[in-house]
Amino acid sequence: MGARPAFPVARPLPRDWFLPAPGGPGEVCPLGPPGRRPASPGREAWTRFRRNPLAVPGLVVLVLIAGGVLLGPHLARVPYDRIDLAHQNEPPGPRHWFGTDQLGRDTFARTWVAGRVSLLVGLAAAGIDVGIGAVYGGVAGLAGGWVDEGMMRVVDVLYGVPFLLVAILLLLVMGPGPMSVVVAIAMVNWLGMARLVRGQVLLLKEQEYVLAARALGVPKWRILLRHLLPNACGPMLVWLSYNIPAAIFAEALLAYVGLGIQPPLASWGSMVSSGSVLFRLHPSQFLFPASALSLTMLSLYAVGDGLRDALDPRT
Amino acid sequence: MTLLGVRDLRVDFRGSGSVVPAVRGISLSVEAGEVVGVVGESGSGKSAAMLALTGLLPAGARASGSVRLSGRELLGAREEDLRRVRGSQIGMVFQDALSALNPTMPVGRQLAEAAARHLHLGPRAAHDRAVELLAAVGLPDPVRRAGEYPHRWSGGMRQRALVAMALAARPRLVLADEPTSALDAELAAEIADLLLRLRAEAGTAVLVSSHDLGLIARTADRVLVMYAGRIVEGGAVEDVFLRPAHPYTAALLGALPGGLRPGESLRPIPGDPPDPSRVGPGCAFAPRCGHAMHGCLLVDPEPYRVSGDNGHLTRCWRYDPEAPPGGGVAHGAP
Amino acid sequence: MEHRDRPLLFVRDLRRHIPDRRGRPIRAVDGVSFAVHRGEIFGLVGGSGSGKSTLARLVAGLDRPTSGAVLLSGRPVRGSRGPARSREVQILFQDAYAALDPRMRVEEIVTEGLRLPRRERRGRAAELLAAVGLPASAAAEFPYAFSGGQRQRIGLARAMAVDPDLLVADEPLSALDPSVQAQIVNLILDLRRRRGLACLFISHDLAMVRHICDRVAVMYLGRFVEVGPAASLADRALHPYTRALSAAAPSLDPRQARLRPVPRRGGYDPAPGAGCPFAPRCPHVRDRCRAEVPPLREITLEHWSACHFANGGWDPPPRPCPAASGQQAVEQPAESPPGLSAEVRTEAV
Repeated sequence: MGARPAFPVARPLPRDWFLPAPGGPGEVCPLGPPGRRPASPGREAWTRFRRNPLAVPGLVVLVLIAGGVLLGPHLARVPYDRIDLAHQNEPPGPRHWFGTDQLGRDTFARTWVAGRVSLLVGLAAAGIDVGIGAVYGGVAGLAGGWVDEGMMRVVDVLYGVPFLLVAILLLLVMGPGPMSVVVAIAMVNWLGMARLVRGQVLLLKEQEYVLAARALGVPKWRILLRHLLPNACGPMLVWLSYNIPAAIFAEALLAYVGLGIQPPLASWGSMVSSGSVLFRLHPSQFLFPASALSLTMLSLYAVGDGLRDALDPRT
Repeated sequence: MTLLGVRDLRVDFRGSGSVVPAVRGISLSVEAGEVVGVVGESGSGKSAAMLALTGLLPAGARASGSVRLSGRELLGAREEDLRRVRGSQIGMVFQDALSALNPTMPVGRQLAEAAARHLHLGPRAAHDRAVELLAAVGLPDPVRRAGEYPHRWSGGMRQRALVAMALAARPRLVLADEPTSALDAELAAEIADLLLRLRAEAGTAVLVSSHDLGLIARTADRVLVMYAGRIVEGGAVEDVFLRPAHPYTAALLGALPGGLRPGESLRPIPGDPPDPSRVGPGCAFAPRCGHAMHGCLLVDPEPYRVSGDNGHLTRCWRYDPEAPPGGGVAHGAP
Repeated sequence: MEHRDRPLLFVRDLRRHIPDRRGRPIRAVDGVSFAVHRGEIFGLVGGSGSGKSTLARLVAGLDRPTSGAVLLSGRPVRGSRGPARSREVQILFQDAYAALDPRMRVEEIVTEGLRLPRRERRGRAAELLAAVGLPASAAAEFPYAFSGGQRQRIGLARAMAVDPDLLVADEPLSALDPSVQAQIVNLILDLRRRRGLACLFISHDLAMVRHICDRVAVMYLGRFVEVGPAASLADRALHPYTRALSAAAPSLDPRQARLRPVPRRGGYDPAPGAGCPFAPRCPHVRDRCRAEVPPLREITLEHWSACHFANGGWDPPPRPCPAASGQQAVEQPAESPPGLSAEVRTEAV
């Protein structure tokens, strides 16, 4: 075993050195330092989330934008739809912090009101994602066999249909407006979630703890709720954090091409659309809603990245 | 000259704000053509030590001490130098067979590449070497197997392919960390046999670590027993297994079913394996040791010779010259 | 072992064919019959690919057989998988890490099989944990805080919470350190002593199986090739595969440990049907082995083997076993599965 370094013990050894030690060998060891409260997996995930350099700033930005969307229109000096032809196309100034548009409307107020629409669309689409997509995928995965096959063939077929085509058709049928836009986006958006959840359920179904629950006589619905969905939560959340910005952007796209939100209502997409026309002369009308849109999406991506780290199973 | 010389190797894992000492100062040597076994359970640090030898520790881990291969220092060497050493002078067989093989390449090609790179062979010669290796590890029909992909193979075949990879460049030393843990008894026996043949036919030295005592008994000339990051006993395998000097070794051997009447309760070691981040002063095994003395809780003992056996050392206060006589450990080996 | 009473578990000609990727059926379990009695520890050994895990799941009612029956106390184990059935057979898994839901606290995990209101959970969990040697404080923790051995104990507590008669232990020790294996094994032995728990103990560790099992079955490619009392199998194995396993099982005496295992021969692709499934690898193989499937027959009392030459005639003759003795060649062709006495045979079906 190699050379012996200088041994830091004074010789001769004290008399009790070789007497039996008190206590018996190995009582059951405590499970951790005393007084430590058991950290749930949720708390551990939060710690890992915090460690991601972009995640927390992203979260902060999201909170600020949410604040702006809620309070902005009230902080503005004038209502968002007040037309003031005396002050058209103004650059940012003390009266209109973000400037005004062609009709003299306050860009500041409009940006935040538009934000409400954009965010609501995003959240609604996400809600439908989970409501329809997760349940559909969960049922398919759990059922297995030809039920699963059939359900997923439907998904595959729908996946092949181009989004814009569906959206245009639906909007022609339903007429423009926020509700129609939400429906159009949701029609296509749930497919990805369905596939994801089905994949997760198929995977988790074979885990030993699910088998153990079956052996214990736990009914299937309870297994789905208690074991499968909570453990599929991670990938679902990460997917959502990419899907919400996708929905917001889809709405912006529809508004940009003239479908979707109509004036006097505004969304970031429609503001970017009308602002881009006058971009060279009056950039503020474009820049503010475009920045808001970009920042929102970027911070959602950052939060999604943090979520991915947080939910990464370490053990 | 000693093929592999390790002196006072320490490995720390840096976690979030805490430092876990996985290996707390081990020294060992492997001579050419020798098979040295390292016995250890979870938390013993043996896997960390094996990784440290070739610089394969994950980020956040720090190693210190000295690791010399034929006199050349490996610890702290540049990554390019280490890469040349790995594969050509040291072959590695680690636990997770599937992830060590590239799933997108036929096995024969992976072997041939390894051989070509380290032995500077042309493509034809490298392919021949690959087939030779597959045959050497006991795979039937090696020519056909060379063209197959890893995922088509069973666990045992893949493990053998790993050994073949490790041997591709005719290394002088093979490191094997738990080479048989995922295998059933027959396959484990074949791998053990293979390791012995390596030494017999090519003079390759082997350093194998495992918690499978049977594997070590079968293959090793010398054995080192690790506990909580330290080597607590070492010597010729017959000496250590038949006359264990350290209470941990004896308890470990005593926890196995051999030697008891069938149906009798087994004798587990009381308590749980140590948490490397919470080892106190003194001998790490003392809390679980039936022979613990006051001194054991205060100072971690140095290695002492066990009289009567050549090269048999143990870190146990009962072997101190000042210790009262008659402190013999109950020999728990079957 | 007293065989007067009706067996707890009766498996009759069980088959499970699993279609592989091309649709061809793999015969994971290919005609297995046996019985396990109350309080008996029945060992099952075999290499990977032998079908032992599939058999474990079939016995636990987690899988549906292709044909054949699994009867618990006379009633089929699969059917309505309500709580009543779960009280009779439970399962302990090999992978202690995957066997506990990482998002549930231990108290919820161990009481999952019982329908308890929340306030009673903590108390009952503490009792269950104490029975497996874990402190009550473990109830509030999550699985990640525990070592492999501790998790296996939690799994055992969960299984025992519903007080089953039979525990299927599917390689419960394989992933554990040797000193920890002893703890789990002692728990099982204790449960048998105090509650009469029967156990189907699946393992590839022959020494452990020899130590704790009353009877042992050796499985190869979906079939039993040898069944008998544990001591008989260890000392006087009557099938070449069992002998190969024994030779491969390491001894802890380094002087003896360097025996060479029986070398593998031939391909890894099993050829189902023609002849003995072990023929490609058998060192004593003869023409008859390749032509005719040997049936599982009782060779000596309660000791069955599926080899044409089990009662003599191996060529080359086998090396002596550690406790070598002559084999009593008593040929008794019997159709009923091992472990049943004549009385039971008529009753059980």
